[in-house]
Amino acid sequence: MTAFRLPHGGLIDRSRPLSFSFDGKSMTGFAGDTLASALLANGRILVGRSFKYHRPRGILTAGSAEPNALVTVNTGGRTEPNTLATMQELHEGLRAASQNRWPSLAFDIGALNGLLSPFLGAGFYYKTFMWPAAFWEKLYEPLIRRAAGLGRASHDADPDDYEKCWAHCDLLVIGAGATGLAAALTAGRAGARVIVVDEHPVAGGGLLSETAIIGTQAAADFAASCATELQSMPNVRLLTRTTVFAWYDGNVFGAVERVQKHVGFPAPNLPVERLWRIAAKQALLATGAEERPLVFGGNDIPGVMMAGAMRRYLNCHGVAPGHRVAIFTTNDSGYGLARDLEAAGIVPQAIIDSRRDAIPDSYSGSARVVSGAVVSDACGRKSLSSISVLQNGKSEELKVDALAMSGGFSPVIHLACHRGGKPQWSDEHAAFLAPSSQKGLALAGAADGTAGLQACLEAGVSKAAALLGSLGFTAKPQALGPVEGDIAAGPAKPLWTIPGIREKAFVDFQNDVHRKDITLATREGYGHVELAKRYTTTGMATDQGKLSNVNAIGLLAEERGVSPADVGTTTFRPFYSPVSFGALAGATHGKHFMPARMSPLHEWAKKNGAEFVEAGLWYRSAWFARDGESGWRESVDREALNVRKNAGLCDVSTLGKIEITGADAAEFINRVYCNAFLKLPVGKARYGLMLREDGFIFDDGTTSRLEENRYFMTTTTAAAIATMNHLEFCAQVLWPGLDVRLASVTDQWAQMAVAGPKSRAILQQIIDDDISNDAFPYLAARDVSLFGGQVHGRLFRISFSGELAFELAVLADFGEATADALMQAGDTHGIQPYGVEALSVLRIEKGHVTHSEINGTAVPADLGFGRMASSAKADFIGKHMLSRDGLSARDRLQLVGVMPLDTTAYFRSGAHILAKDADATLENDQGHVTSSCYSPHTGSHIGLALVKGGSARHGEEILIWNALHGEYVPGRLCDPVFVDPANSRLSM
Amino acid sequence: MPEFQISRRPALSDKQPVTGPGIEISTPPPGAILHALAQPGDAGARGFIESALMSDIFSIRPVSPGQWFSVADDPLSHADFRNLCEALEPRVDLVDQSHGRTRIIVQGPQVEAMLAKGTAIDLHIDQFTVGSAASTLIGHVSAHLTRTGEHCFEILVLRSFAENMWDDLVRMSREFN
Amino acid sequence: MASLVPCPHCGLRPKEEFTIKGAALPRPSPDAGADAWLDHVYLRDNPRGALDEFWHHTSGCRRWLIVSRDTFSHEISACRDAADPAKERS
Ligand SMILES: [Zn+2]
Repeated sequence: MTAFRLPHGGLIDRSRPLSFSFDGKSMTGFAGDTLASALLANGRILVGRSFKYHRPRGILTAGSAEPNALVTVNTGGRTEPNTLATMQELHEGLRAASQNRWPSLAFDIGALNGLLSPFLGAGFYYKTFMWPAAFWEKLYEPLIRRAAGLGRASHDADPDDYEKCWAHCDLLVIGAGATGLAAALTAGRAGARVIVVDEHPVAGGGLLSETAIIGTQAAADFAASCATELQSMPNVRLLTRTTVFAWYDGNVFGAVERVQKHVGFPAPNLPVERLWRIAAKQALLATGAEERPLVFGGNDIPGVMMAGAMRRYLNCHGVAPGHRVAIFTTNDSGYGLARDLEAAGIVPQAIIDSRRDAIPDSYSGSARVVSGAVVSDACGRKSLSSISVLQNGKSEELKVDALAMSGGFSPVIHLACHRGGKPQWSDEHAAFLAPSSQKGLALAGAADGTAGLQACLEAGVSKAAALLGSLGFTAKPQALGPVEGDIAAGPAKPLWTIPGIREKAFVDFQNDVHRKDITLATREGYGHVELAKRYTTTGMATDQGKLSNVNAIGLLAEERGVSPADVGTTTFRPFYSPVSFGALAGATHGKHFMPARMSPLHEWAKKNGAEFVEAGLWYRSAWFARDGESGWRESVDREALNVRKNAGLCDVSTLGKIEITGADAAEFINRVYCNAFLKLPVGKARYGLMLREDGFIFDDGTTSRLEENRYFMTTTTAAAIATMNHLEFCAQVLWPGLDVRLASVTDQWAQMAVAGPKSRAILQQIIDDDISNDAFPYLAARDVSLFGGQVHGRLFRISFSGELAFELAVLADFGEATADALMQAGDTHGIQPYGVEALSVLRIEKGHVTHSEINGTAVPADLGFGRMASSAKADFIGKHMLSRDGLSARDRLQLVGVMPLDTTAYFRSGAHILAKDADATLENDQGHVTSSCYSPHTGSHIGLALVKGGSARHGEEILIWNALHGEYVPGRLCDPVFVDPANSRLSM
Repeated sequence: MPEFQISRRPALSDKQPVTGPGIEISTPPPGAILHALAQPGDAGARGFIESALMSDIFSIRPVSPGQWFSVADDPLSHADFRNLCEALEPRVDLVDQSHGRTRIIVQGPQVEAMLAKGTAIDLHIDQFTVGSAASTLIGHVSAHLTRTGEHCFEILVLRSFAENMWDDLVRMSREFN
Repeated sequence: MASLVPCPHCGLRPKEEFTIKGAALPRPSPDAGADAWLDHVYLRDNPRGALDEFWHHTSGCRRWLIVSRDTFSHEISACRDAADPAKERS
């Protein structure tokens, strides 16, 4: 055991011990621990295996940049692989398991990859593909796939809830460290609406591992009192456990709040995660800076840790990293750690400082400082045992069990680069800084290259005040501090290439990219940063190179002999850190996956035995099964036969319905349909065909003139929404001078098709007005009164089935009662409900088209509507492209009927039409079946088809070919009207 | 002619109101919702509508330039509707939406937090004051939202989506009750 | 995942409330001739930079708008009701 819990200190609650397990072994930590700090306190140094070489890995950081300590937590549907032990709060009963090892963490067969490492260098995948393909597929890939990889997702459903929500603020402060708290206080006190976000459970950021005094308070106490004040302000929302992961257009920020990831048993009424979309007028990035690792040999051995992380475990969690500690630093960060270690009774073995003469005045400790020196190698297998210190060409071995490293600081600027801005290299700061002057966003504090607590507090105040000023708020100057005892880590000369290295020196810990890979990439011509990234895979792991990218760029720069400014960076994209699919999906799954639209006759259909089918968002009744029926076909045949024999009632409420009024309504309708509408009389309905501007058919339906300037238009169910949008476009954009007003009334009316020879007799029993053939002829359309004036309705004498038929619309809430009454009134006439399947049979028998035929490739002439497109009209939508040569070619696909020669034969929609003796090849394709059904009235399967020159080929024998199902059915093309071609039944 | 007893079955008629300390969800008995359409840009149209529709019965809510919903708690007979039409035409056309839109009332101290799960509108009382109305997406469904009190909103949703909206609201409210 | 469109009637609204039709080009006159119509229906520029587009505020005021945006930066520089310029033309 090396690391251990100190007897006192830290922000943990020692009165609340928590038991947890790691790889099945029971351990204990305290409230306030992370899984990482608890593992360290239990002496657990080895926590994972690396991705490619399966090297033993320990905890490197104390935050969301952690590349090594990825574990799987929980079980069953709550299994969460790739959880960062450094971010997972400890809770009672937490079960965590290491990943990427087999059979066990201590003995891992995959570590053999380490022995193969000469073959696994940069470009390995690309080079290996050059080998014989069979060699690769059968041998190497399966081996490598088994060995590599991260945790495994569960196949069980996630039992928990996730939510999404919006939030709005004047100022969003991202990060609640010294800078962010100062900014939030300034803005909150000025009365602005503020949202402050921090990814840790407690606000404070670096203050929580700081031993400086601010004003009269310890740094952590200062953070706590800031948070308390913020929480007391009604205009401020403090969101902890929340990561802002993206900056989007319109100054919207994506954030994920881990509402219940820190508890063993999530409360069922609360989401476990909440995805926030935060619309901010201004945002301040106070995200701090990430400490950079140093690239020396064996820098990945468990026991090597970032200096800031070691300081956090020490001061925040009361965990000492080891007994014999050394610090390797390029800047003053190492000295703050040294001072705090000494205060905890651990005098560092040495501070190895790459600078020659740079001990900060503020450090007065007793550790030995080795100046102008580097650690060239760390040694040890599953934990650190010694380091080689190189000074003035001489190497010295130091026995240590923990090594802290600090290679300088990289401001956390990811979010500031999500909208196209490129990071700018600053020699002064030895770091990439965010692009300046972006609208809606500013940076402050360490994220902006500022060093030291006092400077950060001041930056938070002044940047917030400036942003608020732009929004019209007056922020009072806030005096926070003074700060005592801070060892500010200002910029220092970076140390990219360390001399004297013998072992692998890792650049990207998670993807196992080491320094030689960078060298190799440069040597083989992949020194451009985008190429080097892909060639070596550096920065491509789940941590997205938070620790590694800048080191890789620095090394590339030195390899190429240029400045990091000339190397540049790869592109930062959302997400800053991984976001669960659960949070992204929110509540949109299962029943809530998409909205369900219910007809006002849904309950009526249900009690009459309907089977429902989804049509877009609608649930439509497909057929109404009766006892004893062997399958859907039997029900559909019965329903279709009954319509032609007696009468049927079908719910057509899902048709789009649009009320059109205004002085120019007639002119407007005349322009949107290709056929003539100007002279449609009041009280009449007319079939209409709408085209797109390119001349192809957009939709069809009927429009009735109810009053001089009041029309009632129906559209197909499928195109209802698109048609309304289209009409609004025509009215608002194309012809804003016309007085036309559009209201969607789809939901206002329950609409019923009552079809069949008995339909009039049935309807007359509930309709007060005379609907005899004389009083209410074919295509009549009028307001009617029902049930002795109890209900208002609209009646249309239109027919989709070819029978005597009506469509009756009644106010939606009366739909069910009206349908019940029709069933009762029609009982002696044999009325039956019918669904969309029988509706489809009836319309195919009559050759009526739907969107199966209006498929976006048909012009009116193709479907036999050639004469409808009015040549007399000067203008209508689609007129000007309709006259193109190709659209009247003789061999266009034209609507035709199709029947099998053998009436017992079956074919289906989608089948292709071949000339009778042609080979079954695509070259011989003549068209295809668009709709098909069994027609009980002809006693055969029938179909509608779009066939080359079809209208002139009635009677021709063809072959119906379905290559998918291997079906060949000899058939004949015919007139598309199979029943009552004279339409005699319409006008009974 | 047989005697038919015709009863009205509004959407959501089988739903029990949701009650709780944070959120209450209910649906009022069916009233009247009239869609008033003028020429966009007719500046005096709103005043004209208000003068024709009694303001103690109808509350007028903007929908779009030149369009308003006039909402009343009691139903309107077809004859009365026709009378109103005649009073307003041709400057303003009325379309009856009493059956096509379903009213849902959501209220309670957490109502803004709940609605923020569905709509991107900033519902802060200084931004969306009492009496404000807007059409917006709530979740995946378009709806018309009116603030009728400090912590009280009325949602008008297409009848066919009412049940879906209700279920969504119940889910959204769960954490607050 | 998110962006906000400043509807002149409704204020800032998320893009999910809108339907996009494409470049905001005026419809040719009925007698403009075949070439003009072919050009209007089928040929579109694909500029890197400023572009005017028709957006419909489908889940809001249901007005058609002309959104002026930069196809590279996504910055929206203006948003107005499409009927306004159409009226000016006619
Ligand atoms: Zn709008």
